[in-house]
Amino acid sequence: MALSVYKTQEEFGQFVCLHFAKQDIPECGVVSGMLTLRVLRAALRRVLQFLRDDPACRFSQLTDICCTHYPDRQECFMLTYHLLSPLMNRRLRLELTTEDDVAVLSAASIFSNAVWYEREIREMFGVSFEGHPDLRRLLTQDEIGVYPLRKTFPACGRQHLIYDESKEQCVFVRRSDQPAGHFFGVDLNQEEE
Amino acid sequence: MTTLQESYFMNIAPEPAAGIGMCRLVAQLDGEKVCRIDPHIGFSHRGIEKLMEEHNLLQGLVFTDKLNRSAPFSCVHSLVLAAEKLLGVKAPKRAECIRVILAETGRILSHLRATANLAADTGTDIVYPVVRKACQQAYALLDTVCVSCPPAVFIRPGGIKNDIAPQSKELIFNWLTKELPPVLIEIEELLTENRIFKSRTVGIGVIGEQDAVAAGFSGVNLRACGVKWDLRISEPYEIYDSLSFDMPVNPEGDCYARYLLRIFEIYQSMSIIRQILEMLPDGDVLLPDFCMGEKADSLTALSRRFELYGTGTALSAGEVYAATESPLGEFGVFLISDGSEKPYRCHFRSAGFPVMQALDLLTKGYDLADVRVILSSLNILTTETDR
Repeated sequence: MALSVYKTQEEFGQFVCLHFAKQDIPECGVVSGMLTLRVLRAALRRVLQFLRDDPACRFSQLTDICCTHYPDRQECFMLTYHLLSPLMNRRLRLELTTEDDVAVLSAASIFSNAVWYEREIREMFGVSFEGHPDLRRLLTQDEIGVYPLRKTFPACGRQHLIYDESKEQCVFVRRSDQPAGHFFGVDLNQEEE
Repeated sequence: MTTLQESYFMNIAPEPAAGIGMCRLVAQLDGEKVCRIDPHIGFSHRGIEKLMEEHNLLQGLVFTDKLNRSAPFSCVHSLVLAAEKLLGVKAPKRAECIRVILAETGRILSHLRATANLAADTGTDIVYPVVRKACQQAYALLDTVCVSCPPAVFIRPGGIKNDIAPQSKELIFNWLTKELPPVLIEIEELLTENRIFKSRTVGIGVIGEQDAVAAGFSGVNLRACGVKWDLRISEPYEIYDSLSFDMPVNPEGDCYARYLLRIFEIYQSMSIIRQILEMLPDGDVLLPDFCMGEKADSLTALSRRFELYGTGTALSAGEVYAATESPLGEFGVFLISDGSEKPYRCHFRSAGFPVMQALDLLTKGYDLADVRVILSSLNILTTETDR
């Protein structure tokens, strides 16, 4: 396994930051043992490209993309990219925030396996991606029409399926029309904005 | 080569290969040749990530265990490590050793099953009964070792639930020396030099080193392409750094290479378990903070018990990523906590998800009959992929 010249994670973080303008990577530090870079939305593709191709980085694998919803914040979605360099034995985390209506640049042109991760985030959170080849739903059915992993969505769902004898078919009813209006401490009568 | 207009589509469903679970492949075929495959997943999606946010960690362990049915302990292990990292605690040495024994037992079980599935897809059902017998012995053994505790809650933050049964050491030794080797010899006799098996697997489903890394492969699938990457050695967790074992790789990258590596890893896991049994230290198995106590005889003990079971342990705020080398590949847990008992967000990095995505790349140009073989040689489980 090739050894990097940059011994500590902090040194390596500084090396990456040197290649970009200060506003592209506003924050850089080690969070719970992993180097974490806060990246500007517009700079994402440039940073990913650099990290993949630079001979001192060689982050050739995108391990994972995760999205988190913070309903109280202005930029309410946080995307976390985990990168891995098997050659240098090093991991790195990129973080960026985005709003409801602002599209994030897709990483699919740099890491081919980002396609499905972004499809999943799109269906679960409603974050849109610019330049993505295929934004169909991945895990849920097409008619669902909600974003299940948002914090504003209750875990028990808003609707449930019952058999209506008068219509002789299965129909969806809103949960709040049911006697138990509260579930898991979430007020179900509250509309999603 | 015919044009794309002359090609046709075919649905391969509901279970495209033996034992992988529900999924649907839409294949575009040109005669017998595969031009393109579009996997449709999500039939086993149970929203476990959402459920994790509604339950405390101890309850969440039970959901996590349901991700991978073929290898008990493997998914829970990552979650427990993530939680321990977040809490800043380290399990006692004895607990770590036992966890590794259990994880390696799970690896043996999973690899045996993967081999049987691959054999079934190449046309030999005869491996199933052999493996089934071995798995039954192993499950009975785990039941005795864990003192009838269900695997889902045996490994937990701070250690393991209770100490293993006193006769475990002899039982495991007996299993490793007497019961398992004949099974492995039988499987190898049936498959390794079998002409039909080799003609169905050698040179099928080949993927190059760089493609595999870029596609997000991990575990056996990555090592079968010649990449030296094993989390147990590269990023050692638990006590793996004090054990001696090597990282076999196979540069071929085909289905046969993946089969050979699985068989090799079973032997390797056996040697790891044997090493640990020889050095198994005495001592506690659970940190006192996480201990439920034998019986609640005082009011304080009762309320403590109530707190641990009912509310759960509060996590410290922060975010952490922990990954283990599960039998299917790198299984990672990304845990974000805001300081309460329930995780704010718990994301699973499943090993099968990127592999399923690369199926198009792997099957392109092969025959329709090879799709089954390729899929089962990758050892994907849709329950783990869909979460």
